[in-house]
Amino acid sequence: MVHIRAGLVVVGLILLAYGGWLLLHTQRPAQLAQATTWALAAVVLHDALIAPLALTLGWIGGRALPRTVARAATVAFVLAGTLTIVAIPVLDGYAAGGANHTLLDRDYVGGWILVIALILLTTAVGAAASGLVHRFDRSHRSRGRMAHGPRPRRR
Amino acid sequence: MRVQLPARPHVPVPREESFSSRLRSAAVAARIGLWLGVCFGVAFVTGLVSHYAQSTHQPVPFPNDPVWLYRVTQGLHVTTGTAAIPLLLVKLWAVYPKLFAPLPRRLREIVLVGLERGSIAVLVAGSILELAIGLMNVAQWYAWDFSFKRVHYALAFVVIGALMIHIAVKLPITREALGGDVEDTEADRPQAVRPGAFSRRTLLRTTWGAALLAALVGSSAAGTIRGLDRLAVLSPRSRRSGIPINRTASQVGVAASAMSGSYRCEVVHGEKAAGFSRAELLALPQATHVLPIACVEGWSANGTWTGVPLRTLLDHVGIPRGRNVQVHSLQERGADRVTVLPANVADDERTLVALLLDGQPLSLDHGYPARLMAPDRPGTLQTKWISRIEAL
Repeated sequence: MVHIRAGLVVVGLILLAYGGWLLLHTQRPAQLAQATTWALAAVVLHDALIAPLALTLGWIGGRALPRTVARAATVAFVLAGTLTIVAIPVLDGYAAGGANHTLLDRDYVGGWILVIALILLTTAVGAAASGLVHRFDRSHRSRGRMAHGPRPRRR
Repeated sequence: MRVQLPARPHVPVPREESFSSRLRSAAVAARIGLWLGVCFGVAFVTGLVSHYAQSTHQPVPFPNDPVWLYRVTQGLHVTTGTAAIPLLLVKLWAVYPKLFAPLPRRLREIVLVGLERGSIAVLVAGSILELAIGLMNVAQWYAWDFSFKRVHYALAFVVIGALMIHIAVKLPITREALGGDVEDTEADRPQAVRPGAFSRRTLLRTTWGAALLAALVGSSAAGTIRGLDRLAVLSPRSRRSGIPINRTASQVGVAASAMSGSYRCEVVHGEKAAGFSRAELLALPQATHVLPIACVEGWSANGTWTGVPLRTLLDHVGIPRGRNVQVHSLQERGADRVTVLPANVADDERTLVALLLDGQPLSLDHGYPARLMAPDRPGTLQTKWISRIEAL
């Protein structure tokens, strides 16, 4: 495994150096500075905004909501949140569409609302169903307990 | 006399130990990382294929068969890139505590850890930027002054290089994590004990669902497969008005010259030259082929193209087989005004100077009066508004 790891590092460094060389040699300093600013902004945007936001929502949700609801809400949040980020360019009015009637040729806000509504509906129905199953299981188990003595200790 | 200073506002800075969810574990990170790596790998290789297909210098010509090759590789490129966005976000969520890990005390370790953290910083910054500009590019949202094509290409090497170093560093822990059950706690941080809202398995399934959803609903390649196009409500291309167009006639300033009555398609072989009006082209023997137009932006669509086989025109001025051919456009601006057809494409009997699409005269935006349509060629090289064809 040492050889594989060493090989990966060597090839990785070569690719990294080649990519860096390409950036330096194909872009003017101002363009390079802009690309670097963008990269740093992307990291700050994620590490200081998106991640803490997700963290805070998770922290609140985990404490304020019953487990079944929290579970469904987390699934919905992951699906809806990531899809919304993917959809930013088409939802954003700055993208070029006007001159070309075959580009950005849908009602994206309507489509986004539709998908988000479907995600919420599906996860809510899933949560309700699993809640019912849970309750059914529990009432079954408690009846079983009455017949067979005290509840066995778990873990 | 002592002055009572106002209390400094306390800003809590989290430490690695502050994160207690057992979902943030190597078992989760390794599994998402594996699929993220697969997506990045596919996007990298298909990206290199696309780069080669667009290169004017091809020691081994890009194959003209099968005709669907480029539409598949480029569709995969955009699909895996789009699917990687949810994967990357959940992966970063799972490893977020590492951002607050303490630095070691010893100099040697500081250097090693510093190098590793540096490679991670490059990997994260490069990955987010690479995916973001790719995503924005397919919606033609150009919010930057740098060259998308060149920066996207160069960053790919940076990201894959940093990824290989990351894999090398993490290989032992990744192997261990992938070898065990996803719910195993052996490789966990000691503080990561609080049960999350759901099991790790559910987190993984949700993540795969999010990646699939992004690819099916939001990627520009979504909808290429008939039946799935109705799901693609957030794709930049709906295909409602037929075959999509990348650059319109007005965007590249050809409207006047393309509609002009003096239009001629020139065919040049050294001293020999011939010019054809659209009517003269239509009077030549015509051929019809079903060929896909496959855009570098990921979408593709089949069309029934009718026109003069390019070979007929080349024969007219005596250009022998086996010669590369250059095709010029009327375009005054925009990329790929002049493209090179490798000999294998120029000699292919399916390569057309197309005049009709689906039985109708080409629209101005599709390249009226005449455009190139060749098998298995990136859309940007299917030169529209042909002005001149010459042997190289």
